[in-house]
Amino acid sequence: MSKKRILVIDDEKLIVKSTCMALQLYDLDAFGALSGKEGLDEARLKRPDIILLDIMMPNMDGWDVLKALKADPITASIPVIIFTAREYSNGPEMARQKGALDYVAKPFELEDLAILIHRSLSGGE
Amino acid sequence: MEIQTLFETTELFDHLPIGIILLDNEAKILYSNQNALKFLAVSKEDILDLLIPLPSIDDRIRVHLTNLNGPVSFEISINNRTLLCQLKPNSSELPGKATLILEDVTRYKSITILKSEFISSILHRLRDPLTSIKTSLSLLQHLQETFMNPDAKEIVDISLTESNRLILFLNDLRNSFYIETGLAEQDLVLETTKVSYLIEKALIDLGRFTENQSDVLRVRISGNRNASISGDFQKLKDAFRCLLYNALLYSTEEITVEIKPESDTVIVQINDLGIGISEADAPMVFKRFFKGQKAAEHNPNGSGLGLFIAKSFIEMSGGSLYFESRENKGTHFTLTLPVARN
Repeated sequence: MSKKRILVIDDEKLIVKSTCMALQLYDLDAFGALSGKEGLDEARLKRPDIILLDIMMPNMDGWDVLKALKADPITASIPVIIFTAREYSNGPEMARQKGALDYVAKPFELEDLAILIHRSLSGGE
Repeated sequence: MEIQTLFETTELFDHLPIGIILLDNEAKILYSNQNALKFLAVSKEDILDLLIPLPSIDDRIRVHLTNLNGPVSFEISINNRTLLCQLKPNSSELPGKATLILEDVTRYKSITILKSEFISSILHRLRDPLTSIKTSLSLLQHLQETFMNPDAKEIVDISLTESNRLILFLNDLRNSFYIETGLAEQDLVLETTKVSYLIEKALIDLGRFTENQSDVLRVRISGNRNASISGDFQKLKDAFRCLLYNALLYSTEEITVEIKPESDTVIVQINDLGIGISEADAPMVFKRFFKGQKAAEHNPNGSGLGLFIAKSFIEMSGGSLYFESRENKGTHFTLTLPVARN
């Protein structure tokens, strides 16, 4: 079976690089995009199995990207995990209300993130 | 009017940086100093002739005046100014029913907003590089068994523990900032959860940044492990983390955590046999940035935020936190949380 593909969208190059490298360890094929616009293009073109999406990005922020992803029939069904340094207590609730599957606060525990991704890929709990 | 003559002849009240207004039972103005007129942007004649009755400026003044039993404080916004109003009932020696003191807090407010934006921006700026550092170190830790010598392995472990410590300090700063600005209360999410689960999660967080990871094994949970409470999971987990961190830090013996459900509340007692809190420090321990003398000697790098955060978060979920302590004998923290109603 081929490896599941994860798209990491974040304007911080080193976060994208280290996260992608780390996810390879968990048998995931991760690749990155460094802006909201690039992320949308990559999602449409490559149709990843899951998207990790940062919120605080210049020009097009994560909420705008999420909205565009959900509005496009090509990408609407791809699960999105919000992946952000902005962590209010109601972050997970806000993320779900806006159509995301889950929420991870940065800095995250690598193991927690990998578990969450694998759980999401297998369709829930 | 005798009192007005008195005020006007002394001129003293016109030199004060605050506004002073004396009100009668019907909210009519008996006296106003110059600053009060300036703050409200009205003339003395307008006000004394009741052309502009004070309640029309802000109706809360009349509402508070009608029900006035003791001093009340509230804020009003008028002509681009934010005014802190303090309404106090007058003693029998003063004419009128109440005195309204106005303080212009516009500048203070704008500085507070600036400060909030500054802290929020710093927290965010620090989190991004920390995410890269932590992820890279975690990656190295995963790989270390295959290619690293023991010294390199230890260095990676230390770096990861220290970056986790820094992350927890940032979390404390963020929590303290959220409490101070009222944001924490605004995003309260109440849910049902088991107390034992909250404690276990807090211990996992603690284990990640403790040099000696087996240290958390000193915590023994007893009592009713199935007791469920209603509260904000994330905030209560942080509260337990702060309390357990202190218990582990200031003692070397076993820490007992006892969960006792009652009819309306679940009581949790955290007991340590550590250095204790002195009588002199006791009234101050829940204050932000306070560090007791012995605690500071024991742990010079502590933030002084833990107990402030714990108490605030527990109270936000409708609970309470108090303690009993004896120096060099230990401390018992008791917290109550509302029992979950299903």
